[in-house]
Amino acid sequence: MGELLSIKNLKTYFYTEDGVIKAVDDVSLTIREGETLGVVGESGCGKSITAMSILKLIPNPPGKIVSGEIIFEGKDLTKATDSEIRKIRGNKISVIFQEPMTSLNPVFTIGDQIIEAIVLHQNMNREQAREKAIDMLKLVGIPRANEVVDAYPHELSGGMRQRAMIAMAMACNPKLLIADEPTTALDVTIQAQILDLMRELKNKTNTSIMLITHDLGVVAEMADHVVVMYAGKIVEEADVFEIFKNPLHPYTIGLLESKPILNQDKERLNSIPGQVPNPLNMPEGCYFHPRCSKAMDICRKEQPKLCSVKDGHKVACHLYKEVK
Amino acid sequence: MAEVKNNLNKGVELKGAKKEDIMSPWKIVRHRLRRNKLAMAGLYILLFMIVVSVFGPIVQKYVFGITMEKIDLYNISAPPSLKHPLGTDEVGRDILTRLMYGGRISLTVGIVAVSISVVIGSIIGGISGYYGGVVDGIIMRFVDIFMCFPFFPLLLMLAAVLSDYKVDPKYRIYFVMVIIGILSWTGLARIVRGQILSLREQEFMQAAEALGLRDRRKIFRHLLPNTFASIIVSATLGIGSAILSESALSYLGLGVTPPYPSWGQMVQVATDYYVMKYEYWKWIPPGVCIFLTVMAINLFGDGLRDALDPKLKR
Repeated sequence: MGELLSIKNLKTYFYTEDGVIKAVDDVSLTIREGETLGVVGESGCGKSITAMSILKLIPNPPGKIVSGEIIFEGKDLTKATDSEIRKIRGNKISVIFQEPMTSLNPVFTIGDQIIEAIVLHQNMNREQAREKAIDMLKLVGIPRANEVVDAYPHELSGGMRQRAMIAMAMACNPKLLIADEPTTALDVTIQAQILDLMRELKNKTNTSIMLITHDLGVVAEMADHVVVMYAGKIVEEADVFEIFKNPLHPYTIGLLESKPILNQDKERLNSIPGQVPNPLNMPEGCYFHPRCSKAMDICRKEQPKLCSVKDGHKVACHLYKEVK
Repeated sequence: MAEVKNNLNKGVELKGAKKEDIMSPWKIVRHRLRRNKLAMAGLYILLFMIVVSVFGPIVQKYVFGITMEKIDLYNISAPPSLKHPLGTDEVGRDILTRLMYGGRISLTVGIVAVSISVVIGSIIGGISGYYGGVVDGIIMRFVDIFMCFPFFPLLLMLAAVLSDYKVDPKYRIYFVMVIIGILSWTGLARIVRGQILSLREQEFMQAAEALGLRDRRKIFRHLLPNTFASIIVSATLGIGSAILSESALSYLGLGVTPPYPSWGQMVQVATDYYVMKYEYWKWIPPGVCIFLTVMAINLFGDGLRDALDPKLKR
C-alpha cells in the first residue's frame, strides 16, 4: 500500500483578538491507499481543523496554515493555488459533513447538487451526469433513485440525506474521502447502515477514508489505523487492534475507560476528570498533565515528543521511552 | 442484517407505491397563495390590467379603427358616449385607447425599472454579503451614500437634463425607466446582503466549497436562489412604487411627453380648474387605473410575502 496523503508538521493557528489559538499544533500523519484512518479526540481537539486544512477550507482570516506540508500525490497542497485546490476539492478529495440536515442546499433538488459536482469535475454533459447521479444514488442504497433524484432535501429523512451526501462525495471517484463525524447526527440503526455503506464503498472503489469521530465504537468498526488527538496534538498513534488492546497514553486509556460497556452494572460511566484546557492559555509542559492521574514532575515542565515505543505504535508521554 | 435492510427497503418502497405528489417549494407557495383571497383579487386585477393594456390597443386599432393619435374633430372634449366609452380629450383623442397605451407604458416602466434594480441590487448585495469584511464595508457605505440622495429631486433634475438635451419623446420613456431603476436598487441590495451574510455561514455552503466551486458560482447559483423569496416580494412591491414614480414624473411633465400617453401624464389635465370640475372623464379614469394597479400590486406582494414565509404556519 503506497502513501496517498502525508501531513508533515502541520500547524494551523487562529489569530483571534484575544490571542493565538493553536488549533493544530505540529501534527504529522499518513494515510495509505485503501486505508481507513480514524482520528479520535474530544470536541475542539483539532481533528476537524486538521481535515479542513487538507482542502484549505479553513476560514481565513482568522485561521491560517502557519507551516507544514500536506503532500497529496506528490504535490504540496499548502502551496497549491486556489484554482489547483478547486480541482482537487470534490474530485480527488471529497468531504462528508457532520450535519446531513443542513449540508444540502435547500433550494435545489438532490439530483441538481450531485450533477453539479459531476459536471464540474468530469467531462460529462448534464444528461450523462444525471444518469451517473441516479447510479450513485442506487449505489448508496436509496430506493426509488429515479424519483429521489428530483426530490428536495426537505423531503428526505436524515439517513437518506446522509446517503445522498455520500453519493455526492463519491460521485467523482475520489481518492480520499474525509468523513467529518458522518454519523453523529444520526440515530444508532441508521448509523450502522451508513457505516456499512461506507465500508462497502471503500472496498469497491479502494478509496481511502479519513474518519473523524469521537465515537470509539465507530473507530473499532471502521478504522485500520487510529490517531488520538488532544489539544491540537497527536498523543498516540497505532493500528486499531493495538490501540484497543494495548493503549499507552493515559488520555487514550481514559477515553477507552469512559466507553459504555454492555452487561455491566454501573451507575455512572467513567470520565476523565477536568476539562480540555483553554486553548488561549495552555498549561506548560504536557497539555494533558492537569488531568492526568500519572503526572510526574517532568510533565509539568517539558512537553513530551511523539516517539515510537513499538513497531507502528507511537505515543507522546514521558512514561514511555523511545525504542530504537 | 441483510434481512433487516431488505425489509427496510421494502417499507420505503411500499410507501412510495402510493405515488405521493412531490411538493416542490413553488407548489407550496401557490397553494398558500390561492387561499389568500385579497392577494388573489390583486393578482386578478393586475392580470386584467396587463391583458387589457397588451391586447386592448390591438383590438381598438383593427376592430374600431381607433389609435391613440387619431383625432376625432367632431368630438373634442366629448363626454362618454357609445363611440367613445370614456369620452375624448381636448384634441379629440379617444381616452379609453390612450388609457390602454398608457397602461402599456406604465407597466413596462414598472417592470423594466424593477428588473434593473433587481439585477443591480442582487449582484451588489450578493457580492457584499458573500465577501463580507472590508468589501462589505465599502459597498455598504456606498449604498448609504446612495440612500442619502433625495430620490425625487434627483429624478426631477435628471429628467430636466433629458428635456434640455431634446431627447426624442419616443425614447424618453426608456431613460425614465433606467433612471428609476438605477435610483432604487439600494433597498434590495441591503435585503440580499443581509440574507447572504447569514446564509454563507450555513453548512451547505461549506459543502459547496468542498465541492470545488468558484466564488461566482457559489454566489449566484447557490446563495442568491436562497434569497429569491425576498427578492420576489421586494420586486413586486417595487413595481408599484416605480409606477407611482413614473406617474408623478409624467404628471410634472418630465416623464412621458405627448403624443405618447401615460397615466400620470393624463391626470395632469386636472391642474386645469375647468377640467377638474366639469370634465371628469379626462382625469378620473387614469387616476383610478393608477390606484387600482398599484393597490393590486401591493395586495399581491403582501400575499406573496406571507406565502413565501416558511415560518408562517396556518
